[in-house]
Order: sequence, then structure tokens, then C-alpha cells
Amino acid sequence: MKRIMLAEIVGKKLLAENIYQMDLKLPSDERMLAGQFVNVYLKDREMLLPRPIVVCKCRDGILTLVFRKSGKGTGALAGYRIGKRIKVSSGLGNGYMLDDCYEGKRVLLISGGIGIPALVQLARYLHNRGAYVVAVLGYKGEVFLEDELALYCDELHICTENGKSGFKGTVLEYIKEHGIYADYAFGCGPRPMLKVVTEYCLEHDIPIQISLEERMGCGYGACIGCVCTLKINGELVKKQVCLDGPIFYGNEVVWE
Amino acid sequence: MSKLDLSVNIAGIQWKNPITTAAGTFSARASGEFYGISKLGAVTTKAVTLNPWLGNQTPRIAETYGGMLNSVGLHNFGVDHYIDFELPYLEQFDIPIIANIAGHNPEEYREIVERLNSTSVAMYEINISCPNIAENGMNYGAFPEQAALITSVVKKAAKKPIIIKLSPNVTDIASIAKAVEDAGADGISMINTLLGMRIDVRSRKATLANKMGGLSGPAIKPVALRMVYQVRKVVNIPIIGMGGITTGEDAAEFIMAGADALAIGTAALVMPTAPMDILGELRAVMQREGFNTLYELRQAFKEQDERLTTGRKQW
Repeated sequence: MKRIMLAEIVGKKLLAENIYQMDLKLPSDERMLAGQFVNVYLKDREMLLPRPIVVCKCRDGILTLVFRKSGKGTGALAGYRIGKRIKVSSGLGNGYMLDDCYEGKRVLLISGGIGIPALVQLARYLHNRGAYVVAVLGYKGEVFLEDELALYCDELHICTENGKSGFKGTVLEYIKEHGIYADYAFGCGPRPMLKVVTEYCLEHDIPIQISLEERMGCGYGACIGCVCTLKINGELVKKQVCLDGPIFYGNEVVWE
Repeated sequence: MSKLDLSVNIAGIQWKNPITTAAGTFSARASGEFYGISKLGAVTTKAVTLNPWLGNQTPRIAETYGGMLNSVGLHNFGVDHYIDFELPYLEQFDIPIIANIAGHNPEEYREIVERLNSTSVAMYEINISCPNIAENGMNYGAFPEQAALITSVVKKAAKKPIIIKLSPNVTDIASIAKAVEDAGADGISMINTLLGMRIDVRSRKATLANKMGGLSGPAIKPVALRMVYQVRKVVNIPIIGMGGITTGEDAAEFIMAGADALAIGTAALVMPTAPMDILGELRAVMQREGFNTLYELRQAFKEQDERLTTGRKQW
């Protein structure tokens, strides 16, 4: 059974401008998969709907979330102090579809902005299963989570819009310029980035899985609020992002 | 040992408690991950149409102060899929299944009902009030004559009790309720969502792709409660009350206003276990207030307010 838990905020850090890391102590250890998200409930009931936030990592009963303060909800969340108890759900949605062994495989992780936290648990999984992990990360300016990702990545390439750190330009420009090849690719980030990266991967015969984002109501499959269009065997179908996704095969996604 | 009896009889169908799900806010597989479906009084499924409907563009959801807007647009796989895949799964829970039905015209409603007559569906909830399917959010529920027309067409075809789901987006809900009762409705469920809108000032666009959508959640509860109260005065058939019910106290209010049963919608989208939580809280409220049955609770509402009749000055 899935459940809603009362979790205690045991750690909070500002990683970059408006980017917060929050560690939540869960009542018991909970298995959460790379690519899943949790619903976070706000104290102020004016804001009725839970906020879906991707799992950065979850180990030994500590769930780590990294989110951008961008609206009223994440603004309130960012204001909560250590010691406060908030409600969070079990892991929702499906994680990345992963094999048991990546020995001898080159795996490319592509992400940008607030999509980057989704890669932490994924990179760790792939690293532990023998993959050669290449991450190409895009930031607006300030870099975050790079130290943590460096633990699991064999190559870590940072791209920034302003050139303040690493390569000046987009992740796709970097990948093209350096002719990066991989056996598999995984993406999470803004939709326009995912679109061009997916197109690149498909052109180069690299199977890619991506995490899609959509405005959610319930986050667990009841309201049919968040849908996306896929093309499966030549047929257009609607899928629920929260229940059927948020991870989809890039070649099936219809970008419109 | 508590003498609490929460069972209700809605149009001849026995429910073990008054709680059902509001159409479009429940999925047996998804909700069943959080609580035992068999503990519900009845289950009301998402609107089913004759053919598959793809629903509206996204974003379909917008949060509002104490509520939410949706413009899902009755996204569903059609009645054949419902019979082949959803009903067999729901049957295992052994509770009355209420099929919410929507269509573009009376013929479609009739055809769906005829398909479902020989299935395990216990009652039909006729959705004449979804604001998300036509231009300007209009629907059959907006006019007494049209509401009565759909009711009589469905009643003729139906071999199960029919519940008509009313729209709050009308000038006089009591006249519509009376019209559907006269046309043969076995019950009424109310209210559907209130037509609403939100604009994102930064992007200068409506927050919902469909621009307008249905408002639900705690924000609409006083409106829903008032309408149940008004309709109870003019009809004798059972009322399934809904609209922002979030706590056991809310549930008790609806029963006192005249509802026979209750549907939990947005509260369950927010908190998946809400139907069970509210049921537990309603029990607690009844015990606290000293009621053993829902009938007692309903009867306890004081229509004659002594503050006004005793002549004693209260303020």
C-alpha cells in the first residue's frame, strides 16, 4: 500500500539562488525509485493541492528533495524550518526503467536546471551496476549538486548559459561539439531541452528515457489532469504523466 | 458497543455507509493503493461516454484559494472499455457500483444505459452538468425542460435506478430538481463543479488551456450545502450531497441540510484516503453529538431557529 507520512525536516540548505535542498526523516525506511516523485503537503490549507517534487535520493529513511522556489507553494516550503513536520506521500509514478547490469555500457545523463536532482539516485544506481556514466548538465548560472553527482559519474560536463562555469552554451551544443556517444541516455529537464536532446539521441540511435512534467492535480492517477500524448505502434494515445510516467521512452513522446 | 448505524438506502439500493466517491476523482487501481475500496458505501466511477473521449488540452488543473479548477473534459475510454476492463475489476469489492454517464445528446445517454443494463452496475448517475464539454460551459442541466427530457429518455431505457447529477451553474436549482423528479428521477446528486476561471498575470494567459473549468473543493462547500438545503425542501427522492466535503463535520452538515448520502471528490484528490478519513470523522461527530443513525442526525436540524421565535434578544 502507498501512504501519506508525517516526516520531519532534519536538514535544509540553500544550494544556489532559489534552489533548496531539504532532508526529510520518514517514519520508516521507504523504497523510492530513481525518477519517482513524492507529493508534498503544505501547512497552509489555502494551497489545497500537494506539490509533486522529484526524489533526489532516499536512503536509510531520509528522503532528500531539491526544489526551486518558484511560486507560492515552493515559497512556503522553502520557508519551513528544521524540526517542522510535514506530510509527504510514498514514491509516486514509475522510476526509470533500468536493467540489472550496465557493465561495459556507456550511459549518458542529460539534464538541465531543476531536472538535475532527479539524476542523483539514477547516477548512483548506474555507477553501482558497472556503467560508465557521462553526465552533461545545463545550468542558467550557478552550479549545484555537481559534487554529489561527481561521486557517481565518470565524466561530468557542466554547461552554463553565461559561461561562468564550464562550457558556454546548451547541453545539446556540448554533446554535438564533443561528439558524445552512449549506449543509453536518460534525460530530465525543461521540455524544450528534452525535445532537442531526444531528437539528437534518436538520430544517433541512442535509446533515451525522459521524465515529463505536467501540471498535476492529485499526482496518483485519480483525476486524469496530467496527460501527455504518445505515439505507440503508429497510434496516438494519451497517457497519464503521474501514473503511466513520468518516465517515458523518448521515441514515443509526441512533442506537438 | 456502539449502536451507530450508518447504513443508508438510496433508491432501493442498500449502502453500508453514506460515503461514495465523486465521479472523476476516483480510480479503483490508483485509489486502491491507499485504502480498501470495499470499505466505501458505494463507488461512483468516472463519467463514461459511448465512444472514447480524449478530453481537453493541458494544463487541465489550476489551484485556487481553497479549491481547484479542472478542465479534464470527461477523458475516458468509452463504454465498451468500461464494461470489459473496469467493471470486472470493481466487482471484487462487492459494493454498489454507480456508473456516471455523459453524452452529447439524449440518444447517446440512452444507448449507454442500454449497454449497462445487463452489467453489475447498480445505479446510474446521469451527468447533465459537466461544464467542460461545450462552448461556454453550457449543459443540459441548465434548463428544467432539457433536464427533464434527458431524465425521461434515460428512465425509459434504464433497468436500474437513475440519479440525476445537477449543475450549480443555474438561476434556480430547486426548479430543475423538481423537474427531474417529476420526469422520473430516482435520486439527485449535487452539486457538480461551479464554472470558474483563472488568469496567470505573468504570462497574460488563462491558467487552464481550456480557459474555463469547474471549481471544486472546500471553497464551494457553502454553496453546495445551501443548494442541497433548497432542493431538499422541494423533492422527496434521495439526495447524494457533494461539494467540498473535507471533514466529518462537513459531512454532518450535508446530512443536516438534507442529504441522504455523500460523495467525496476533491478532498480525495488532495488526500487519497479522504473518503475513509471523513467516514471515521463522521462517526466521531455522531458519537459526540449523540446520534445513532443518519436519520436522527438529519431530523435534529432546527428549521425553527429559537433565536428568532422566542423573542429573546440575542445580540
